[in-house]
Amino acid sequence: MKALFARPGNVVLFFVLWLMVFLSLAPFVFMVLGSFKTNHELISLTPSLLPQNGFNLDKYAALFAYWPFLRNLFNSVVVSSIVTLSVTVTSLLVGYSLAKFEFPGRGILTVIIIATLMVPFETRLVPTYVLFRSLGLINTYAGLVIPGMVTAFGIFMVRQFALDSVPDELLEAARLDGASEFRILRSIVAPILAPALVSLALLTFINSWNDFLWPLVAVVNSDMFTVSVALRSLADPSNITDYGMVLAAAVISVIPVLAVFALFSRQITTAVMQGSGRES
Amino acid sequence: MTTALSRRDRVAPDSGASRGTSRARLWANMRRNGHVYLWVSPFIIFFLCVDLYPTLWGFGLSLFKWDGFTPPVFVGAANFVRMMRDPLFWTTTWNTLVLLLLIVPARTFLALVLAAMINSAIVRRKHFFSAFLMLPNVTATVVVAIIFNVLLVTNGGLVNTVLGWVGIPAVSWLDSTEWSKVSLAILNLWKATGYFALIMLAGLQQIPKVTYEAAQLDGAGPIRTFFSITIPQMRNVILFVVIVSTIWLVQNIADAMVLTQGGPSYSSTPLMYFMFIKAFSQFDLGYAAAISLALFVLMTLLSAGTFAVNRRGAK
Repeated sequence: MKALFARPGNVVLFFVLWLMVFLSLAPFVFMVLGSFKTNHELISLTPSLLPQNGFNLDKYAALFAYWPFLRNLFNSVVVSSIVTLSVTVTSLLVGYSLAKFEFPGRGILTVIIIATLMVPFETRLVPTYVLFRSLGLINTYAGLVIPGMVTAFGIFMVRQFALDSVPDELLEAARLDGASEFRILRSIVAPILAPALVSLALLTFINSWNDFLWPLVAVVNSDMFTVSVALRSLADPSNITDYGMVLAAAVISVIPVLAVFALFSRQITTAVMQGSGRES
Repeated sequence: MTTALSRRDRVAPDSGASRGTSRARLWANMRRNGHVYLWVSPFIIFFLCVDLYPTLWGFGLSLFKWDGFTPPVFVGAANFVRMMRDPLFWTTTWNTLVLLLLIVPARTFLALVLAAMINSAIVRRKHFFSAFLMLPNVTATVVVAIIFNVLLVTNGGLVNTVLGWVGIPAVSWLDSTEWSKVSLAILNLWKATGYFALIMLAGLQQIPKVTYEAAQLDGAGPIRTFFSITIPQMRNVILFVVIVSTIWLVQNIADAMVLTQGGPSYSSTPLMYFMFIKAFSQFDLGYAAAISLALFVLMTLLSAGTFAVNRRGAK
Protein backbone atom coordinates (compact mmCIF):
# COMPACT_ATOMS: atom_id res chain seq x y z
CA MET A 1 0.00 0.00 0.00
CA LYS A 2 2.83 2.33 0.93
CA ALA A 3 4.58 1.75 -2.37
CA LEU A 4 1.36 2.42 -4.17
CA PHE A 5 1.18 5.97 -2.92
CA ALA A 6 4.91 6.55 -2.93
CA ARG A 7 4.62 8.78 -5.97
CA PRO A 8 2.01 11.50 -6.47
CA GLY A 9 1.60 10.21 -10.04
CA ASN A 10 0.21 6.94 -8.73
CA VAL A 11 -2.42 8.75 -6.70
CA VAL A 12 -3.56 10.63 -9.80
CA LEU A 13 -3.59 7.39 -11.78
CA PHE A 14 -5.84 5.57 -9.35
CA PHE A 15 -8.03 8.62 -8.90
CA VAL A 16 -8.64 8.78 -12.67
CA LEU A 17 -9.31 5.05 -12.95
CA TRP A 18 -11.78 5.05 -10.07
CA LEU A 19 -13.43 8.16 -11.50
CA MET A 20 -13.86 6.20 -14.73
CA VAL A 21 -15.46 3.33 -12.79
CA PHE A 22 -17.77 5.79 -11.05
CA LEU A 23 -18.76 7.53 -14.29
CA SER A 24 -19.50 4.29 -16.10
CA LEU A 25 -21.57 2.99 -13.19
CA ALA A 26 -23.39 6.15 -12.03
CA PRO A 27 -25.99 6.35 -14.83
CA PHE A 28 -27.04 2.75 -14.08
CA VAL A 29 -27.47 3.54 -10.39
CA PHE A 30 -29.45 6.64 -11.34
CA MET A 31 -31.63 4.53 -13.64
CA VAL A 32 -32.37 1.84 -11.05
CA LEU A 33 -33.10 4.30 -8.23
CA GLY A 34 -35.07 6.51 -10.64
CA SER A 35 -37.39 3.65 -11.55
CA PHE A 36 -38.81 3.91 -8.02
CA LYS A 37 -39.21 7.71 -8.08
CA THR A 38 -41.94 10.12 -9.09
CA ASN A 39 -41.42 12.89 -11.64
CA HIS A 40 -41.15 15.39 -8.78
CA GLU A 41 -38.28 13.49 -7.24
CA LEU A 42 -36.49 12.97 -10.57
CA ILE A 43 -36.78 16.56 -11.81
CA SER A 44 -36.00 18.47 -8.67
CA LEU A 45 -33.81 21.24 -7.35
CA THR A 46 -33.34 19.28 -4.13
CA PRO A 47 -32.61 15.76 -5.36
CA SER A 48 -32.45 12.90 -2.89
CA LEU A 49 -30.51 9.71 -3.47
CA LEU A 50 -33.11 7.18 -2.36
CA PRO A 51 -36.76 7.11 -3.45
CA GLN A 52 -39.07 8.72 -0.89
CA ASN A 53 -41.74 6.05 -1.06
CA GLY A 54 -39.25 3.22 -0.69
CA PHE A 55 -38.72 0.50 -3.24
CA ASN A 56 -42.27 -0.28 -4.25
CA LEU A 57 -42.93 -1.66 -7.71
CA ASP A 58 -45.68 0.78 -8.74
CA LYS A 59 -43.80 1.99 -11.81
CA TYR A 60 -43.20 -1.55 -12.97
CA ALA A 61 -46.87 -2.43 -12.52
CA ALA A 62 -47.86 0.73 -14.38
CA LEU A 63 -45.57 -0.19 -17.25
CA PHE A 64 -47.09 -3.62 -17.79
CA ALA A 65 -50.59 -2.19 -17.49
CA TYR A 66 -49.85 0.52 -20.05
CA TRP A 67 -47.76 -1.28 -22.66
CA PRO A 68 -47.39 -4.85 -24.06
CA PHE A 69 -43.86 -4.93 -22.70
CA LEU A 70 -43.86 -8.66 -21.93
CA ARG A 71 -44.65 -9.33 -25.56
CA ASN A 72 -41.82 -6.98 -26.59
CA LEU A 73 -39.44 -8.88 -24.32
CA PHE A 74 -40.56 -12.13 -25.87
CA ASN A 75 -39.99 -10.70 -29.37
CA SER A 76 -36.47 -9.62 -28.43
CA VAL A 77 -35.69 -13.04 -27.00
CA VAL A 78 -36.92 -14.75 -30.17
CA VAL A 79 -35.09 -12.39 -32.53
CA SER A 80 -31.79 -12.35 -30.60
CA SER A 81 -31.78 -16.14 -30.16
CA ILE A 82 -32.39 -16.88 -33.82
CA VAL A 83 -29.85 -14.32 -34.95
CA THR A 84 -27.21 -15.55 -32.48
CA LEU A 85 -27.69 -19.20 -33.42
CA SER A 86 -27.63 -18.43 -37.12
CA VAL A 87 -24.57 -16.18 -36.97
CA THR A 88 -22.62 -18.70 -34.89
CA VAL A 89 -23.38 -21.64 -37.20
CA THR A 90 -22.88 -19.82 -40.50
CA SER A 91 -19.70 -18.12 -39.27
CA LEU A 92 -18.30 -21.51 -38.27
CA LEU A 93 -19.13 -23.09 -41.63
CA VAL A 94 -17.96 -20.23 -43.82
CA GLY A 95 -15.05 -19.07 -41.67
CA TYR A 96 -13.59 -22.58 -41.37
CA SER A 97 -14.07 -23.26 -45.07
CA LEU A 98 -12.21 -20.11 -46.01
CA ALA A 99 -9.39 -20.80 -43.59
CA LYS A 100 -8.70 -24.46 -44.26
CA PHE A 101 -9.76 -25.42 -47.79
CA GLU A 102 -8.30 -24.60 -51.17
CA PHE A 103 -11.17 -24.25 -53.56
CA PRO A 104 -11.79 -22.24 -56.72
CA GLY A 105 -13.51 -19.00 -55.70
CA ARG A 106 -11.94 -18.76 -52.26
CA GLY A 107 -9.99 -15.62 -53.06
CA ILE A 108 -12.96 -13.73 -54.44
CA LEU A 109 -15.13 -14.79 -51.49
CA THR A 110 -12.57 -13.48 -49.02
CA VAL A 111 -12.44 -10.16 -50.85
CA ILE A 112 -16.24 -9.94 -50.86
CA ILE A 113 -16.37 -10.58 -47.12
CA ILE A 114 -13.85 -7.86 -46.39
CA ALA A 115 -15.74 -5.48 -48.70
CA THR A 116 -19.04 -6.29 -46.95
CA LEU A 117 -17.36 -5.60 -43.64
CA MET A 118 -16.57 -2.10 -44.83
CA VAL A 119 -19.97 -0.97 -46.04
CA PRO A 120 -22.33 -0.20 -43.16
CA PHE A 121 -25.91 -1.40 -43.25
CA GLU A 122 -27.22 2.17 -42.89
CA THR A 123 -26.28 3.03 -46.47
CA ARG A 124 -28.64 0.35 -47.78
CA LEU A 125 -31.37 0.87 -45.21
CA VAL A 126 -33.80 2.40 -47.70
CA PRO A 127 -33.56 -0.23 -50.46
CA THR A 128 -33.56 -3.04 -47.88
CA TYR A 129 -36.75 -1.65 -46.41
CA VAL A 130 -38.34 -1.39 -49.87
CA LEU A 131 -37.28 -4.95 -50.70
CA PHE A 132 -38.68 -6.38 -47.46
CA ARG A 133 -41.89 -4.44 -47.86
CA SER A 134 -42.39 -5.78 -51.37
CA LEU A 135 -41.87 -9.32 -50.04
CA GLY A 136 -44.49 -8.76 -47.34
CA LEU A 137 -41.92 -9.19 -44.54
CA ILE A 138 -42.71 -6.00 -42.63
CA ASN A 139 -44.16 -6.78 -39.19
CA THR A 140 -42.93 -10.40 -39.26
CA TYR A 141 -40.25 -12.25 -37.31
CA ALA A 142 -38.65 -13.26 -40.61
CA GLY A 143 -38.35 -9.61 -41.55
CA LEU A 144 -36.76 -8.79 -38.20
CA VAL A 145 -34.14 -11.54 -38.21
CA ILE A 146 -33.08 -11.99 -41.85
CA PRO A 147 -30.76 -8.97 -42.21
CA GLY A 148 -28.80 -10.12 -39.14
CA MET A 149 -28.52 -13.84 -39.85
CA VAL A 150 -25.13 -13.87 -41.57
CA THR A 151 -22.39 -11.39 -40.71
CA ALA A 152 -19.10 -10.73 -42.41
CA PHE A 153 -17.72 -9.82 -38.99
CA GLY A 154 -18.46 -13.28 -37.58
CA ILE A 155 -17.06 -15.08 -40.61
CA PHE A 156 -13.90 -13.03 -40.53
CA MET A 157 -13.46 -13.61 -36.81
CA VAL A 158 -13.79 -17.40 -37.13
CA ARG A 159 -11.55 -17.44 -40.19
CA GLN A 160 -8.75 -15.65 -38.35
CA PHE A 161 -9.10 -17.91 -35.34
CA ALA A 162 -9.15 -21.06 -37.50
CA LEU A 163 -6.04 -19.94 -39.42
CA ASP A 164 -4.16 -19.58 -36.14
CA SER A 165 -5.36 -22.47 -34.08
CA VAL A 166 -6.53 -25.42 -36.20
CA PRO A 167 -3.47 -27.51 -37.17
CA ASP A 168 -3.56 -28.98 -40.69
CA GLU A 169 -1.87 -32.16 -39.46
CA LEU A 170 -4.79 -32.91 -37.18
CA LEU A 171 -7.26 -32.58 -40.06
CA GLU A 172 -5.09 -34.78 -42.31
CA ALA A 173 -4.82 -37.43 -39.61
CA ALA A 174 -8.59 -37.49 -39.17
CA ARG A 175 -9.06 -37.82 -42.93
CA LEU A 176 -6.65 -40.76 -43.06
CA ASP A 177 -8.71 -42.36 -40.29
CA GLY A 178 -11.69 -42.10 -42.61
CA ALA A 179 -13.64 -39.43 -40.80
CA SER A 180 -16.12 -37.52 -42.95
CA GLU A 181 -15.61 -33.79 -43.40
CA PHE A 182 -18.75 -33.06 -41.40
CA ARG A 183 -17.57 -35.36 -38.63
CA ILE A 184 -14.20 -33.56 -38.56
CA LEU A 185 -15.98 -30.22 -38.34
CA ARG A 186 -18.22 -31.37 -35.51
CA SER A 187 -15.79 -33.41 -33.40
CA ILE A 188 -12.44 -31.74 -34.01
CA VAL A 189 -12.80 -28.25 -35.42
CA ALA A 190 -15.81 -27.00 -33.45
CA PRO A 191 -14.26 -27.85 -30.05
CA ILE A 192 -11.00 -26.12 -31.00
CA LEU A 193 -12.89 -23.04 -32.16
CA ALA A 194 -15.27 -23.10 -29.18
CA PRO A 195 -13.76 -20.10 -27.35
CA ALA A 196 -14.04 -17.93 -30.46
CA LEU A 197 -17.57 -19.19 -31.13
CA VAL A 198 -18.63 -18.41 -27.55
CA SER A 199 -17.24 -14.87 -27.81
CA LEU A 200 -18.92 -14.41 -31.17
CA ALA A 201 -22.25 -15.65 -29.80
CA LEU A 202 -22.00 -13.30 -26.82
CA LEU A 203 -21.19 -10.25 -28.93
CA THR A 204 -23.91 -11.15 -31.44
CA PHE A 205 -26.52 -11.60 -28.73
CA ILE A 206 -25.69 -8.25 -27.15
CA ASN A 207 -25.69 -6.43 -30.51
CA SER A 208 -28.90 -8.04 -31.62
CA TRP A 209 -30.66 -7.30 -28.32
CA ASN A 210 -29.57 -3.65 -28.52
CA ASP A 211 -30.21 -3.28 -32.25
CA PHE A 212 -32.55 -0.46 -32.90
CA LEU A 213 -32.52 0.96 -36.40
CA TRP A 214 -33.70 -2.04 -38.41
CA PRO A 215 -36.43 -3.14 -35.96
CA LEU A 216 -37.65 0.45 -35.99
CA VAL A 217 -38.36 0.38 -39.72
CA ALA A 218 -39.19 -3.33 -39.98
CA VAL A 219 -42.17 -3.36 -37.61
CA VAL A 220 -45.23 -1.17 -37.32
CA ASN A 221 -47.44 -2.71 -34.64
CA SER A 222 -46.49 -2.26 -31.00
CA ASP A 223 -46.97 -5.96 -30.27
CA MET A 224 -44.27 -6.79 -32.85
CA PHE A 225 -41.85 -4.22 -31.39
CA THR A 226 -38.57 -5.42 -29.94
CA VAL A 227 -37.58 -3.99 -26.57
CA SER A 228 -35.43 -1.18 -28.03
CA VAL A 229 -38.20 0.03 -30.32
CA ALA A 230 -40.72 -0.12 -27.48
CA LEU A 231 -38.37 1.91 -25.30
CA ARG A 232 -38.06 4.54 -27.96
CA SER A 233 -41.83 4.85 -28.23
CA LEU A 234 -42.19 5.02 -24.45
CA ALA A 235 -39.54 7.74 -24.26
CA ASP A 236 -40.96 9.78 -27.13
CA PRO A 237 -40.95 13.34 -25.76
CA SER A 238 -44.38 14.04 -27.24
CA ASN A 239 -46.07 11.45 -25.04
CA ILE A 240 -43.72 10.92 -22.11
CA THR A 241 -45.65 11.49 -18.90
CA ASP A 242 -43.99 9.30 -16.33
CA TYR A 243 -40.18 9.27 -16.26
CA GLY A 244 -40.09 6.63 -13.55
CA MET A 245 -42.08 4.22 -15.67
CA VAL A 246 -39.77 4.70 -18.66
CA LEU A 247 -36.76 4.12 -16.43
CA ALA A 248 -38.44 0.96 -15.12
CA ALA A 249 -38.74 -0.27 -18.72
CA ALA A 250 -35.08 0.62 -19.29
CA VAL A 251 -34.07 -1.35 -16.19
CA ILE A 252 -35.90 -4.47 -17.37
CA SER A 253 -34.47 -4.12 -20.87
CA VAL A 254 -30.83 -4.11 -19.74
CA ILE A 255 -31.13 -7.10 -17.40
CA PRO A 256 -30.41 -9.81 -20.02
CA VAL A 257 -27.42 -7.96 -21.48
CA LEU A 258 -25.96 -7.05 -18.10
CA ALA A 259 -26.44 -10.62 -16.89
CA VAL A 260 -24.53 -11.91 -19.91
CA PHE A 261 -21.87 -9.27 -19.38
CA ALA A 262 -21.52 -10.01 -15.65
CA LEU A 263 -21.00 -13.71 -16.37
CA PHE A 264 -18.73 -13.36 -19.40
CA SER A 265 -17.05 -9.96 -19.13
CA ARG A 266 -13.63 -11.55 -19.47
CA GLN A 267 -14.51 -13.30 -22.74
CA ILE A 268 -16.15 -10.16 -24.09
CA THR A 269 -13.31 -7.77 -23.31
CA THR A 270 -10.78 -10.30 -24.60
CA ALA A 271 -12.73 -10.71 -27.84
CA VAL A 272 -12.77 -6.96 -28.36
CA MET A 273 -9.04 -6.75 -27.70
CA GLN A 274 -8.17 -9.68 -29.98
CA GLY A 275 -10.43 -8.54 -32.78
CA SER A 276 -9.01 -5.06 -32.63
CA GLY A 277 -5.85 -5.32 -34.65
CA ARG A 278 -7.34 -7.38 -37.43
CA GLU A 279 -11.00 -6.84 -37.95
CA SER A 280 -12.01 -4.77 -40.98
CA MET B 1 -21.45 -39.33 -46.51
CA THR B 2 -19.27 -42.40 -46.00
CA THR B 3 -19.22 -43.42 -49.64
CA ALA B 4 -18.45 -39.89 -50.71
CA LEU B 5 -15.60 -39.90 -48.27
CA SER B 6 -14.01 -43.15 -49.36
CA ARG B 7 -14.10 -41.95 -52.94
CA ARG B 8 -12.45 -38.74 -51.88
CA ASP B 9 -9.78 -40.64 -50.04
CA ARG B 10 -8.79 -42.50 -53.15
CA VAL B 11 -8.08 -39.20 -54.91
CA ALA B 12 -6.18 -38.13 -51.86
CA PRO B 13 -4.74 -34.62 -51.73
CA ASP B 14 -1.45 -34.25 -53.60
CA SER B 15 -1.31 -37.93 -54.48
CA GLY B 16 -0.01 -38.74 -57.94
CA ALA B 17 -3.51 -39.42 -59.20
CA SER B 18 -4.69 -35.87 -58.85
CA ARG B 19 -1.65 -34.41 -60.59
CA GLY B 20 -1.95 -34.00 -64.32
CA THR B 21 -3.16 -31.17 -66.44
CA SER B 22 -4.13 -28.10 -64.47
CA ARG B 23 -7.74 -28.44 -65.55
CA ALA B 24 -7.89 -31.99 -64.26
CA ARG B 25 -6.37 -30.80 -61.03
CA LEU B 26 -8.92 -28.02 -60.70
CA TRP B 27 -11.69 -30.53 -61.32
CA ALA B 28 -10.32 -32.96 -58.77
CA ASN B 29 -9.94 -30.13 -56.34
CA MET B 30 -13.54 -29.04 -56.79
CA ARG B 31 -14.81 -32.58 -56.38
CA ARG B 32 -12.70 -33.25 -53.35
CA ASN B 33 -13.93 -30.09 -51.68
CA GLY B 34 -17.51 -30.23 -52.91
CA HIS B 35 -18.88 -29.95 -49.38
CA VAL B 36 -17.17 -26.59 -49.01
CA TYR B 37 -19.51 -25.05 -51.55
CA LEU B 38 -22.44 -26.27 -49.48
CA TRP B 39 -20.90 -24.75 -46.36
CA VAL B 40 -20.20 -21.35 -47.87
CA SER B 41 -23.56 -21.20 -49.65
CA PRO B 42 -25.38 -19.39 -46.79
CA PHE B 43 -22.99 -16.49 -47.15
CA ILE B 44 -23.23 -16.45 -50.94
CA ILE B 45 -27.03 -16.46 -50.91
CA PHE B 46 -27.13 -13.87 -48.18
CA PHE B 47 -24.59 -11.65 -49.93
CA LEU B 48 -26.45 -11.73 -53.24
CA CYS B 49 -29.96 -11.18 -51.82
CA VAL B 50 -29.49 -9.03 -48.73
CA ASP B 51 -26.26 -7.12 -49.47
CA LEU B 52 -25.60 -6.77 -53.18
CA TYR B 53 -29.12 -6.64 -54.60
CA PRO B 54 -30.39 -3.84 -52.31
CA THR B 55 -27.13 -1.91 -52.73
CA LEU B 56 -27.39 -1.90 -56.52
CA TRP B 57 -31.12 -1.29 -56.35
CA GLY B 58 -30.41 1.71 -54.13
CA PHE B 59 -27.98 3.12 -56.70
CA GLY B 60 -30.75 2.88 -59.28
CA LEU B 61 -33.33 4.40 -56.94
CA SER B 62 -31.15 7.52 -56.54
CA LEU B 63 -32.06 8.41 -60.15
CA PHE B 64 -35.81 8.37 -59.45
CA LYS B 65 -38.34 10.46 -57.63
CA TRP B 66 -40.46 8.11 -55.55
CA ASP B 67 -42.80 8.38 -52.57
CA GLY B 68 -42.91 4.62 -52.08
CA PHE B 69 -46.48 4.20 -53.30
CA THR B 70 -47.13 5.84 -56.68
CA PRO B 71 -45.00 4.71 -59.67
CA PRO B 72 -41.43 6.07 -59.55
CA VAL B 73 -40.48 8.82 -62.00
CA PHE B 74 -37.04 8.84 -63.64
CA VAL B 75 -35.32 12.17 -62.94
CA GLY B 76 -31.69 11.46 -63.87
CA ALA B 77 -29.19 13.36 -61.74
CA ALA B 78 -31.83 15.74 -60.37
CA ASN B 79 -31.60 14.30 -56.83
CA PHE B 80 -27.87 15.03 -56.76
CA VAL B 81 -28.34 18.56 -58.09
CA ARG B 82 -31.02 19.10 -55.45
CA MET B 83 -28.66 17.79 -52.77
CA MET B 84 -26.02 20.36 -53.70
CA ARG B 85 -28.61 23.15 -53.46
CA ASP B 86 -30.37 21.90 -50.33
CA PRO B 87 -29.41 24.09 -47.34
CA LEU B 88 -30.45 21.28 -44.98
CA PHE B 89 -28.02 18.92 -46.70
CA TRP B 90 -25.21 21.35 -45.91
CA THR B 91 -26.49 22.02 -42.37
CA THR B 92 -26.53 18.32 -41.57
CA THR B 93 -23.15 17.76 -43.24
CA TRP B 94 -21.79 20.58 -41.08
CA ASN B 95 -23.39 18.99 -37.98
CA THR B 96 -21.65 15.72 -38.80
CA LEU B 97 -18.30 17.51 -39.10
CA VAL B 98 -18.79 19.38 -35.81
CA LEU B 99 -19.70 16.16 -34.03
CA LEU B 100 -16.58 14.48 -35.44
CA LEU B 101 -14.42 17.36 -34.21
CA LEU B 102 -16.06 17.35 -30.79
CA ILE B 103 -15.75 13.61 -30.34
CA VAL B 104 -12.85 12.04 -32.24
CA PRO B 105 -9.87 13.97 -30.79
CA ALA B 106 -11.29 13.83 -27.24
CA ARG B 107 -12.04 10.13 -27.58
CA THR B 108 -8.64 9.24 -29.00
CA PHE B 109 -6.87 11.11 -26.23
CA LEU B 110 -9.04 9.72 -23.41
CA ALA B 111 -8.87 6.17 -24.76
CA LEU B 112 -5.08 6.27 -24.99
CA VAL B 113 -4.63 7.78 -21.53
CA LEU B 114 -7.03 5.33 -19.87
CA ALA B 115 -5.40 2.40 -21.65
CA ALA B 116 -1.90 3.54 -20.66
CA MET B 117 -3.03 3.86 -17.04
CA ILE B 118 -4.52 0.37 -16.94
CA ASN B 119 -1.43 -0.99 -18.66
CA SER B 120 0.91 0.52 -16.09
CA ALA B 121 2.70 -2.01 -13.91
CA ILE B 122 1.24 -0.83 -10.62
CA VAL B 123 -2.34 -1.60 -11.69
CA ARG B 124 -2.99 -5.19 -10.76
CA ARG B 125 -6.72 -5.60 -11.37
CA LYS B 126 -6.51 -4.91 -15.11
CA HIS B 127 -9.55 -6.99 -15.92
CA PHE B 128 -11.67 -5.18 -13.35
CA PHE B 129 -11.00 -1.80 -14.94
CA SER B 130 -11.34 -3.20 -18.48
CA ALA B 131 -14.80 -4.51 -17.61
CA PHE B 132 -15.89 -1.06 -16.50
CA LEU B 133 -14.49 0.41 -19.72
CA MET B 134 -16.68 -1.97 -21.69
CA LEU B 135 -19.82 -1.66 -19.56
CA PRO B 136 -21.31 1.46 -21.22
CA ASN B 137 -20.66 -0.09 -24.62
CA VAL B 138 -22.85 -3.16 -24.07
CA THR B 139 -25.80 -0.98 -23.08
CA ALA B 140 -28.38 -0.11 -25.72
CA THR B 141 -28.21 3.42 -27.10
CA VAL B 142 -31.90 3.85 -26.39
CA VAL B 143 -31.36 3.10 -22.71
CA VAL B 144 -28.42 5.50 -22.48
CA ALA B 145 -30.44 8.20 -24.21
CA ILE B 146 -33.38 7.74 -21.82
CA ILE B 147 -31.09 8.12 -18.80
CA PHE B 148 -29.35 11.18 -20.30
CA ASN B 149 -32.71 12.69 -21.20
CA VAL B 150 -33.74 12.66 -17.54
CA LEU B 151 -30.30 13.77 -16.31
CA LEU B 152 -30.08 16.70 -18.73
CA VAL B 153 -33.50 18.31 -18.20
CA THR B 154 -32.84 22.07 -18.09
CA ASN B 155 -34.86 22.98 -14.99
CA GLY B 156 -34.37 20.45 -12.23
CA GLY B 157 -32.33 17.83 -14.09
CA LEU B 158 -29.65 16.32 -11.89
CA VAL B 159 -26.74 17.63 -13.98
CA ASN B 160 -27.90 21.24 -13.90
CA THR B 161 -28.80 20.97 -10.21
CA VAL B 162 -25.30 19.76 -9.37
CA LEU B 163 -23.76 22.46 -11.57
CA GLY B 164 -25.93 24.96 -9.69
CA TRP B 165 -24.35 23.90 -6.39
CA VAL B 166 -20.98 25.09 -7.66
CA GLY B 167 -22.48 28.29 -9.06
CA ILE B 168 -22.74 27.40 -12.74
CA PRO B 169 -26.01 28.66 -14.28
CA ALA B 170 -28.39 26.14 -15.83
CA VAL B 171 -27.36 24.93 -19.29
CA SER B 172 -30.05 24.27 -21.88
CA TRP B 173 -28.54 20.91 -22.86
CA LEU B 174 -31.22 19.52 -25.12
CA ASP B 175 -33.33 22.49 -26.17
CA SER B 176 -30.78 24.96 -27.51
CA THR B 177 -29.03 24.98 -30.85
CA GLU B 178 -25.70 25.78 -29.13
CA TRP B 179 -25.68 22.82 -26.75
CA SER B 180 -27.58 20.06 -28.53
CA LYS B 181 -24.47 18.84 -30.38
CA VAL B 182 -22.43 18.99 -27.18
CA SER B 183 -25.00 16.79 -25.44
CA LEU B 184 -24.78 14.28 -28.28
CA ALA B 185 -21.00 14.34 -28.03
CA ILE B 186 -21.13 13.67 -24.27
CA LEU B 187 -23.48 10.73 -24.78
CA ASN B 188 -21.29 9.23 -27.48
CA LEU B 189 -18.07 9.78 -25.55
CA TRP B 190 -19.58 8.12 -22.50
CA LYS B 191 -20.87 5.19 -24.50
CA ALA B 192 -18.01 4.26 -26.83
CA THR B 193 -14.73 5.62 -25.46
CA GLY B 194 -14.13 2.53 -23.32
CA TYR B 195 -14.35 0.25 -26.33
CA PHE B 196 -11.56 2.14 -28.05
CA ALA B 197 -9.57 2.23 -24.82
CA LEU B 198 -9.62 -1.59 -24.91
CA ILE B 199 -8.30 -1.53 -28.46
CA MET B 200 -5.55 0.84 -27.35
CA LEU B 201 -4.82 -1.45 -24.40
CA ALA B 202 -4.40 -4.40 -26.77
CA GLY B 203 -1.97 -2.28 -28.78
CA LEU B 204 0.00 -1.24 -25.71
CA GLN B 205 0.41 -4.85 -24.64
CA GLN B 206 2.17 -5.53 -27.95
CA ILE B 207 4.95 -3.05 -27.16
CA PRO B 208 7.90 -5.05 -25.83
CA LYS B 209 8.58 -4.45 -22.13
CA VAL B 210 12.29 -4.20 -22.91
CA THR B 211 11.69 -0.91 -24.69
CA TYR B 212 10.29 0.60 -21.51
CA GLU B 213 13.01 -0.91 -19.33
CA ALA B 214 15.65 0.60 -21.57
CA ALA B 215 13.98 4.00 -21.33
CA GLN B 216 13.83 3.69 -17.55
CA LEU B 217 17.51 2.87 -17.37
CA ASP B 218 18.17 5.97 -19.41
CA GLY B 219 16.30 7.92 -16.76
CA ALA B 220 13.13 8.78 -18.67
CA GLY B 221 10.12 9.56 -16.47
CA PRO B 222 6.58 8.32 -17.12
CA ILE B 223 5.52 11.43 -19.07
CA ARG B 224 8.64 11.38 -21.24
CA THR B 225 8.21 7.65 -21.85
CA PHE B 226 4.58 8.21 -22.86
CA PHE B 227 5.52 10.75 -25.53
CA SER B 228 8.74 9.22 -26.83
CA ILE B 229 7.83 5.54 -26.74
CA THR B 230 4.11 4.93 -26.32
CA ILE B 231 2.80 7.37 -28.90
CA PRO B 232 5.26 6.54 -31.71
CA GLN B 233 4.85 2.78 -31.13
CA MET B 234 1.08 3.17 -31.14
CA ARG B 235 0.84 5.22 -34.32
CA ASN B 236 -1.04 2.61 -36.32
CA VAL B 237 -3.43 1.76 -33.50
CA ILE B 238 -4.18 5.44 -32.97
CA LEU B 239 -4.84 5.89 -36.68
CA PHE B 240 -7.11 2.84 -36.59
CA VAL B 241 -9.08 4.28 -33.66
CA VAL B 242 -9.44 7.64 -35.39
CA ILE B 243 -10.73 6.15 -38.63
CA VAL B 244 -13.04 3.56 -37.06
CA SER B 245 -14.59 6.06 -34.68
CA THR B 246 -15.10 8.40 -37.63
CA ILE B 247 -16.88 5.65 -39.56
CA TRP B 248 -19.04 4.77 -36.56
CA LEU B 249 -20.02 8.38 -36.05
CA VAL B 250 -20.90 8.95 -39.69
CA GLN B 251 -23.14 5.88 -39.71
CA ASN B 252 -24.73 6.62 -36.32
CA ILE B 253 -28.41 7.54 -36.47
CA ALA B 254 -29.63 6.25 -33.12
CA ASP B 255 -27.91 8.75 -30.77
CA ALA B 256 -29.51 11.82 -32.31
CA MET B 257 -32.83 10.12 -32.92
CA VAL B 258 -33.40 9.23 -29.30
CA LEU B 259 -31.54 11.96 -27.40
CA THR B 260 -32.50 15.18 -29.21
CA GLN B 261 -34.65 14.01 -32.13
CA GLY B 262 -32.16 15.97 -34.19
CA GLY B 263 -33.40 19.28 -32.87
CA PRO B 264 -33.93 22.00 -32.09
CA SER B 265 -34.38 23.03 -35.73
CA TYR B 266 -31.96 20.42 -37.19
CA SER B 267 -29.07 21.66 -35.00
CA SER B 268 -28.23 18.10 -33.94
CA THR B 269 -29.25 16.19 -37.06
CA PRO B 270 -26.26 14.45 -38.65
CA LEU B 271 -26.30 13.65 -42.35
CA MET B 272 -27.23 9.97 -41.91
CA TYR B 273 -30.22 10.93 -39.77
CA PHE B 274 -31.22 13.50 -42.39
CA MET B 275 -31.28 10.64 -44.91
CA PHE B 276 -33.48 8.66 -42.51
CA ILE B 277 -35.90 11.57 -42.05
CA LYS B 278 -36.17 12.04 -45.82
CA ALA B 279 -36.92 8.35 -46.31
CA PHE B 280 -39.13 7.43 -43.39
CA SER B 281 -40.79 10.68 -42.29
CA GLN B 282 -41.14 12.48 -45.62
CA PHE B 283 -41.26 9.46 -47.97
CA ASP B 284 -38.77 11.07 -50.33
CA LEU B 285 -37.13 7.72 -51.12
CA GLY B 286 -35.26 8.69 -54.28
CA TYR B 287 -33.61 11.65 -52.59
CA ALA B 288 -32.80 9.52 -49.53
CA ALA B 289 -31.16 6.97 -51.85
CA ALA B 290 -29.05 9.73 -53.39
CA ILE B 291 -27.85 10.86 -49.94
CA SER B 292 -27.17 7.20 -49.06
CA LEU B 293 -25.03 6.88 -52.18
CA ALA B 294 -22.99 9.95 -51.20
CA LEU B 295 -22.49 8.44 -47.75
CA PHE B 296 -21.64 5.06 -49.28
CA VAL B 297 -18.80 6.62 -51.28
CA LEU B 298 -17.53 8.48 -48.21
CA MET B 299 -17.63 5.38 -46.00
CA THR B 300 -15.93 3.21 -48.60
CA LEU B 301 -13.06 5.67 -48.82
CA LEU B 302 -12.76 5.80 -45.03
CA SER B 303 -12.87 2.00 -44.76
CA ALA B 304 -10.28 1.58 -47.47
CA GLY B 305 -8.14 3.89 -45.34
CA THR B 306 -8.57 1.62 -42.32
CA PHE B 307 -7.68 -1.42 -44.32
CA ALA B 308 -4.53 0.24 -45.65
CA VAL B 309 -3.54 1.19 -42.10
CA ASN B 310 -4.08 -2.37 -40.93
CA ARG B 311 -2.12 -3.82 -43.79
CA ARG B 312 0.76 -1.54 -43.04
CA GLY B 313 0.50 -2.37 -39.36
CA ALA B 314 0.66 -6.09 -40.09
CA LYS B 315 3.93 -5.83 -41.97
